[in-house]
Amino acid sequence: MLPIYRREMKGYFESLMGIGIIGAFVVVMMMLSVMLDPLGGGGDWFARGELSMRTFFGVFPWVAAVVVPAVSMRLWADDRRQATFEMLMTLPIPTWKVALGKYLAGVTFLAAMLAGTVAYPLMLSQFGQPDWAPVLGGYIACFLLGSAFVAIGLFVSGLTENQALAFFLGMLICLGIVGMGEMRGLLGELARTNPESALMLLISIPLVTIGFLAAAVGRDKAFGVAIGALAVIGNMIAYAWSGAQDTGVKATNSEDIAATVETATRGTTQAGEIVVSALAQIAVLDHFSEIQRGVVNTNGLVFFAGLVVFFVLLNVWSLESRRYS
Amino acid sequence: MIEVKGITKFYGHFKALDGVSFHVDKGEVLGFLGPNGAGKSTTMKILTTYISASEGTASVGGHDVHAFPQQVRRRIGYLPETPPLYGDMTVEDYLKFAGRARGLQGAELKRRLESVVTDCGLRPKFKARVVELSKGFKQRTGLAQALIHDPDVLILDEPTSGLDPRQIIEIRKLIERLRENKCIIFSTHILQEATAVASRLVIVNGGRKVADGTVEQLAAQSSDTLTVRVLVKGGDDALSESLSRLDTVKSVEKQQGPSGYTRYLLTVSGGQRGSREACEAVALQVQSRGFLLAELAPEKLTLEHIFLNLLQKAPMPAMPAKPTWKADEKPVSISSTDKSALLPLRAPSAVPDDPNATAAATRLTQPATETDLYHPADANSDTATDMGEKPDPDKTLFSPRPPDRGDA
Repeated sequence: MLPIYRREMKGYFESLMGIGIIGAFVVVMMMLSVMLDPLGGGGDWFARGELSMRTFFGVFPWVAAVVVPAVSMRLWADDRRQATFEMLMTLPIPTWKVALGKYLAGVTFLAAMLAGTVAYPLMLSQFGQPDWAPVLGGYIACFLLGSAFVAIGLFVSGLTENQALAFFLGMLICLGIVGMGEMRGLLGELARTNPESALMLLISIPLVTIGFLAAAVGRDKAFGVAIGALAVIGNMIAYAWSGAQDTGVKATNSEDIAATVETATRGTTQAGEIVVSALAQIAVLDHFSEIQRGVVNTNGLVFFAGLVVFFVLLNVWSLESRRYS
Repeated sequence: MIEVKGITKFYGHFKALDGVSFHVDKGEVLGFLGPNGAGKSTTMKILTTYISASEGTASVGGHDVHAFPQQVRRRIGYLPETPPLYGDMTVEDYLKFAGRARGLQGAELKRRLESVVTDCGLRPKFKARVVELSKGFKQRTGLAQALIHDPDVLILDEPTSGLDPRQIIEIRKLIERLRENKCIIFSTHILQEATAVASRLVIVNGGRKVADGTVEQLAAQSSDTLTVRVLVKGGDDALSESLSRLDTVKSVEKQQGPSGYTRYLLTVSGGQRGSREACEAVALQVQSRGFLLAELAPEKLTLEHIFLNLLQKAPMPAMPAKPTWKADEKPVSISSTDKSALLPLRAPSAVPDDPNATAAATRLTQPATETDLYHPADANSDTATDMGEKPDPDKTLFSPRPPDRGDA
């Protein structure tokens, strides 16, 4: 494992790309933090008379969702493109150790990226008496979230030999996860007003994702398109059905049907609520902001660790299964 | 040391390997021979545990490749078709990485590093970045990587492809040196390559094994037509007549030799044995007619003959059907510059009665000496003896020969 880790670290730091990514990340983070801070309410720093890193930690998930896949895209895809993949898979090192070595290199790079931004709180601390505890909590939260993103990126990178594809797929998934928190609000609203659509949307989003993944990886394009199409058609049916309820079904015929439909609607509403609350459990941003606020509970740690383990294992499984294809 | 039993591999519906079995012992160098796409690389990938076989078993050093991949990998040094290199590393860093990845450390790593750098002639480029290396040095670095842990078993997928003649000889010498306490399999589609280094040959085609044995054994099985060149001081048409009446001689062509000499080109059937018998008879004939025999040069049966013979005999299930050439229609897809690639097809076994073909074959099958093997074109792997690298192996090797291309 260690040789793999060392090799990947060399790959990161002996090319200008690594230094470039760190530099770009630091600059973008600082710029966004300063520029977006007034939007947080209460005018700019001078009007508020208060300096904070709230905006910095607020934008991190979104920036990381874009930058981390760029860091992790090369981890496997670069080997897949060359014959080194064949070498790695025939070394007397189990695949999970190779994957772990690569993962840890990615995480180390993430740490270096975060370390680069320490200039920002140091700069702010020149203007007053900073409270370091929330800053530390924020950094821990950033690191945990970023680590999960590296695992996702590692997995996606193992699916393709095309680094650009690995980047876009990784970014899509990371952005999706970050956006889930926002989506939850919308879904909750939708579940109250139009439960069938909400439910279908909940089912179809993962389906579309799986379909897209399958199609992108190119092993089975027809399968991917079929699943995607299924999800879209399902959505349309749900929409049509809920429309029919409003206009036709209830108004016509016996009360029995109306009663049945109502029971069904209540059932789906409940199901929708259950899914929404389940979604709350996996809303990354909730855990992120909790830890950032200093609430480092096992719930949050287990959540991020679980994400990492899940995606690293998925990575190993997807690579091992290639031997049999 | 290596035991392969009936391995079959499907890629989707495509059967890349079909029940291939063979074994290699310690101290043996096995030449794994076949046209491109015959299943050589697939077999090697299965042996190195990179992919798994659909059916059948294989073991390395007594360990099953499927059940105990880690034990197998520890014993194997593997050079894939393209050397597995990290361009951004220096040769030194890369080889250290390769060594550490196989569990070498400290003094031992240093010792092995020294050893492979010397063996593979990497000293002048030790500190250079891999991306800056020439193809030859890249190949050698890949070989060094496979050797760094001093494995019992070496699996080399086309180790000399793309190298220049001098580098090829160096790699061969290296394999010679290593063979003593190792078991080596190397694949190639270049025939001389195989004869020069291998102690035994396994020939595959279309996913099936078509031959297994030493070069001599394979040659003995052959009943090809060969050419015997005779130079006689004096000589006349009557001699030509009587030579053509000899048992194994199929035809005689009389040519003008140096002043006072006559040259006869005899086409002889019956393979190596027929050729030997013909030589004895020719010597007697020439003498009994009062001429002096100045030169008697039997053509040596080369692997080209054996190879083409086997490929023609063997069924080719994996090959998609190709349109056949109609008479007096020239193949369109092969440009005149690629003609050299067509030459192996023109071996006498394919068309015994075509004088042009015989002439071409004569050129092909001169006794193989070291210098002969490496005319400059060799470096581009573009010679007549390069089996099917050029332009479309299906067309050059597996389609019926275009009937009237006597312009070679």
